[in-house]
Amino acid sequence: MADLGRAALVVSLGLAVYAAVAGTVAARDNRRRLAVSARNALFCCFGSTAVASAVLATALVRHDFSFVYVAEHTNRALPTSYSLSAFWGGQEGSLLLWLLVLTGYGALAVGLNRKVLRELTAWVVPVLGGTAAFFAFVLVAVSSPFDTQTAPFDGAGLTHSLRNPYMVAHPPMLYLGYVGLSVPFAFAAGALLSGRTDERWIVATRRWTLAAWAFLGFGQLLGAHWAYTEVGWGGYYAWDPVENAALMPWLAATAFLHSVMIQERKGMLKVWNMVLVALAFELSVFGTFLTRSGVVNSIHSFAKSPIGGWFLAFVVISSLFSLTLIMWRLPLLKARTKLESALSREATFLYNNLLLVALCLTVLWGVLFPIVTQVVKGETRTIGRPYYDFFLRVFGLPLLLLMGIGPLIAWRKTSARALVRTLAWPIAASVACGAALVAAGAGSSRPGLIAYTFCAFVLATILVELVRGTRAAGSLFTLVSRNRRRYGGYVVHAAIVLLALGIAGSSAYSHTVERPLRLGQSMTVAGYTLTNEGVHHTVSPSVTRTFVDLRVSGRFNGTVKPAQAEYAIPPEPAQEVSIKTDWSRAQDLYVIADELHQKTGLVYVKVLVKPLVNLIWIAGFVFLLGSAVALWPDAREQRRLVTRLAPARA
Amino acid sequence: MPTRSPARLVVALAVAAVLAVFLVYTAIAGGSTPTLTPSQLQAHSGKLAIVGIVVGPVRGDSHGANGLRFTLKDPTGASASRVRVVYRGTAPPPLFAVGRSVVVSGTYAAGRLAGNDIVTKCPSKYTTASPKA
Amino acid sequence: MTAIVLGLLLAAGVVVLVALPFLREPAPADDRLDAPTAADERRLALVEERDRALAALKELEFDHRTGKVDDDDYLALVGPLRRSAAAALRALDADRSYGAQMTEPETPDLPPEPAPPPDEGTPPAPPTVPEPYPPPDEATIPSIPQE
Repeated sequence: MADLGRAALVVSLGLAVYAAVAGTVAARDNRRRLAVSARNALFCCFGSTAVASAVLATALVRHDFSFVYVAEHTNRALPTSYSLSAFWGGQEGSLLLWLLVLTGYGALAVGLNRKVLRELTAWVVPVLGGTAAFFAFVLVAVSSPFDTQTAPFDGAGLTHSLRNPYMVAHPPMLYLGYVGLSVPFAFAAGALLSGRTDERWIVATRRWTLAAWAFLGFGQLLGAHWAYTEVGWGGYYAWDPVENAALMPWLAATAFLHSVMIQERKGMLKVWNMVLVALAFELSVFGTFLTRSGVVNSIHSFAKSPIGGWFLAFVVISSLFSLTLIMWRLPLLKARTKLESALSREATFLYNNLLLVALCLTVLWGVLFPIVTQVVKGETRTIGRPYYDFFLRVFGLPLLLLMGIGPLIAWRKTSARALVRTLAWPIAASVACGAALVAAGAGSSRPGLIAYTFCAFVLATILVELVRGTRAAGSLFTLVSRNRRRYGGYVVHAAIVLLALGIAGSSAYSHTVERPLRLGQSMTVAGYTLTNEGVHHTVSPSVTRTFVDLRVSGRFNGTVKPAQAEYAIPPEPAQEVSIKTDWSRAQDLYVIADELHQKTGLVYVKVLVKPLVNLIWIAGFVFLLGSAVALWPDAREQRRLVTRLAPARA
Repeated sequence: MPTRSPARLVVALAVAAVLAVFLVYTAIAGGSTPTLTPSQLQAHSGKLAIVGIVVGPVRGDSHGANGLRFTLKDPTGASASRVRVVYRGTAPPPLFAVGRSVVVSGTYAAGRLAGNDIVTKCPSKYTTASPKA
Repeated sequence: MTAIVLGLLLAAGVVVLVALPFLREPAPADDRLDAPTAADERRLALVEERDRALAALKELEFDHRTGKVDDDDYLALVGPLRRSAAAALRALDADRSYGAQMTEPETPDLPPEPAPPPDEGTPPAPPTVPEPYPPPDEATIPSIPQE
């Protein structure tokens, strides 16, 4: 069966190359049948990639250890769901997943748009084909999931920390995001290649971009939650290069989502949007390069892999391609209108973009810094957490503020007088909130206090918008359903506010104490008292655990039992932290069993109290809700677009 | 258009402000740490991080007075350089063991690293490891 | 064995699908990619211009109604927007090469009062609020601003 898989991938490669080459000829020479043929090749590419994926999935479920990949990532004892998730657990499989999603998205995007924007779609096919050809090439020639061996009796198994529902969902979610960004990129390139640089490519890909961005954001939150609960160091984000690899394209895509609104209404920022969408796409491929090439020291880093060089080459070539395209079509990208006032919604979108891109480039610099210093100075220097924390505050807090001000400013220009009048109530509410917070003791952290106050401000502005809008439209439902994008966007803003509150609370106002506790001894942290009641073991064939029994009193009454575990197959130690959530404060009591001395009963325990941390996870759901509202299809809009953009002769 | 829009000036100033913040920070704070292998340690001292493979025996206790004591060797195996480490603080993450690749941060002086932070890595496979202690 | 059969089926299917356009139409009358004519393009641009102008007007009125734009700013902004909307409508009427059904903006089914926010899905109907100035007459139509 491995031969079928290999053959299917070779077929995919051939089809992708054909789609790229034939598609280019057809679009350039205006040949209809060839263009349809290239498009069919793209559809078939999805088909053959699906066949290859089915082969791998079947092998995984069947524990066919003649596949090297299956033997490396599963074993007989592994439940089926985890065996399937091993599909994306290794490098080769995750590349196959990338190709599957890419061809799937590509087929769907081109298929849905085949009757409209034909000149543009004719160019989208070769761009997607070229990208697919690269991934297919890597899968066929460099890193194949279909290498075979004489089957060993049992496989190596999946690392225990990955046997977790969050880790099952996290990579596919991220890929739906990363790869999804190639659709707007392909349409942008198609617009430039066909010379159709009006806003139609944006309108055609608007929902794609939003969906990809939503998946990427939610996927990151899944990863953060996994790190928090499973890895157990007390945090959820370590500014590790692999984590940043997903954050950077997400920030660029966020900027892009906002700036396209300006281009749609005002015909401004055309060049900027082209650059942004290319940046988002290149960052998502670059992220893969970083993650797999071993170039940067990362706790997630893999051994230096041969695919790193190929990915770097692809990023360089496609970046040059995009830049050349933009420069060539620069005359067609002239703005239709100008920015009239520094106090207008266009301007706030611009500031928002500046801050988002600044944050994105800051993270990029932090990730590249070790490589740059190695090349320039011959010595690797790494950038630590304080750098990221500083810039997150410097750029993030003003972004938060803009999120509140922007929706309340009118297009074209607003007088300062009108702005103050509209913002009066939210400003008053946030100042009052700030005062109350200081009284409650939140003044202990200035950035935290500022973050809380800004969040109150943004929530107040969203409330103002909803109240005034409902009054004008008659009902909230009417208001939202007639303007799904805007009000869906407000729900997403509310999610970001929750996220900001969660991050501020759990970092600026958290308490961490580490103590040795003899048997019977107690410690107190932020309203919780923990007493060491002893150590006990559980032994089973697959895992041996040593628990610390801690009686807790105070805000929570009960016991917590953090543990250290030793898994047998594959042999692996693990930290199993104990988390108790106090929902009235969205707060977590997070207990880590640091070190256990069996004979003396002495334990070292690290206790963290993290206020508001659960708002982060709640924010994930609100984020999805807001994205769903914004994405909701509008039948009238679809009909109008199809009537307009499909030429008279069908 | 007769007059230049003031908006452009504001935007340009905003860009300049962003860049200025960035440059000032990197110039003043300079928050980067050299990350070296044992073979690269000559002529270095002070705050830095060492990447290496743990060599046993691992003795002591990170919470104890004498700390956790072990040796790091060069990860590439190209050099025979070794560094002695005395680590104090939270117990190292569970994956810390002889033969593992780790990054230890701390202060290096007189041929020894006084470490305060350990990050472990998982070798070659596409799996994640537990991060810093 | 099954692998070889499946593989051959896949290869055959792929070849057929890719060659399909040529198999279906070995000698087509017209092999050019469908594209809008220059006249279609012009009409489409005018329709989009009209929709943008009307949407901007509608949005301004909603912003005024919800207090984002105060009366002075509203009076200052509404005149130019109305003029450009009127000009766009006139330009569209003057260009007769497009079918009749494309000249009517889709009117959303709105209650007359209060007016809903600008609907992204459909271009709004022209505003019914009485105009403070007399509508521009034929002699004073400004051309669509070339910015």
